Amino acid sequence: MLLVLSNSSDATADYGCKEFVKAGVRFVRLDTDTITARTQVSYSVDGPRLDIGNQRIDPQSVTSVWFRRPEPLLFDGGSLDERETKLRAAEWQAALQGFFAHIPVENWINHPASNAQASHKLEQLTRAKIHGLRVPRSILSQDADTVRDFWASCNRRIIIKPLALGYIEAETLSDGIIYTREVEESNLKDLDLLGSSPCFFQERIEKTLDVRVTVVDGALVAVGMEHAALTGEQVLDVRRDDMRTVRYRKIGMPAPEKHALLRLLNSYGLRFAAVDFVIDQHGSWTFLEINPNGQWAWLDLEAGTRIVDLLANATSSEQTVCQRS
Amino acid sequence: MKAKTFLGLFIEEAAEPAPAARRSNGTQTLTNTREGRDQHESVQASASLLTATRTATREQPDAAAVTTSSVKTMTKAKEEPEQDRASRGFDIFPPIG
Repeated sequence: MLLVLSNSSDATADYGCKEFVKAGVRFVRLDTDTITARTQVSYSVDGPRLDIGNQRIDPQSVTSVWFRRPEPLLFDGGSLDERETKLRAAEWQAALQGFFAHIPVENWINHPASNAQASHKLEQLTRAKIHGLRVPRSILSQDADTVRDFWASCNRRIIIKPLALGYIEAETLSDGIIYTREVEESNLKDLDLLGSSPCFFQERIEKTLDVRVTVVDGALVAVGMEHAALTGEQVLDVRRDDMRTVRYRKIGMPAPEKHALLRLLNSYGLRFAAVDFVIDQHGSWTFLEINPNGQWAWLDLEAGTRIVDLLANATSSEQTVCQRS
Repeated sequence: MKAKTFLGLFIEEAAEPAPAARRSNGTQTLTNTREGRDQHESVQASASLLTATRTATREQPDAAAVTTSSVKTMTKAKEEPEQDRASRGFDIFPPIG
């Protein structure tokens, strides 16, 4: 049986579950905002179990866990004071994690520890290069002269992008968003601001196409994303305008890059990944980043891919039969 | 307001606020935004899914029809939350907000 671990607002899980039904995949969806109201968790030395209505789930019956978008646990009502509220949340969390800890790492897509290991963008670049992928010239610095020299050495075309937050929730201001942006010459006069926070810069690749490569258990789906600016050139950040004008097309991935990417993902223990590349005017592929739990369902709907089929196969595979840990 | 960090120079106003369900305080209040309505539809569908315990051998779920409007919540432009989640390692369920 497949366990889908997410929250009730996850449209991707909605889509996946709908398709799993069509494919005959046995699954149970556990949403973190409803699980405490509908589930009982228990344990004896023979092992833990979950009871959801009439259904009993033990770890041995779980062949796969699709780790999507679990959120903080929510609880129905109860007039608990602050201490008991925290205590209840902590005990529930520990009990559920105790259940999931019985499920072997290899049965997860992906195990959260693998996601964590693969989530550091600086380290991704280092490792991608080691595994044979072309990566942009990149620096992280707090030194104005270093950045000025980097800008000059990159033919005065560098970009800046955040390492962690692309969307900034604010309480007293309106929310902010940071896209990948080119650093203009006029920005250089403000480089003294680097002292307060390190910033990440890369050479600007003269790209003709952005590519999202989705990988499930070694199967790759590469989709090119065309998003032309008014000038006709590919926009620097295809996420702009909610990607409304992006045109999609499935493309092939060159064998050397494909093999290098699979080695890279294997090194993290990732069974799933959504990976960003760009292709320049010479046809060279440059690795940008791995999203170990990245979005993909919109590609099925907009680009005509069937990534959900790969996921269905991966989660119902006999190779993922649960072994008691 | 003048930025005090270099990266701060590049902050743009978000076109619309993050949906309440996704904000860091963890509340699930749905907003009146387009995305909020999309999520509301998903919540309804998911609740029915869970109630039915959703195994392929039982009553089939009335899953949400995945419409073009809900695609917005699935795109590359919505990648950020996963990074926060993944960075928590085996802490499957993030701390209560």
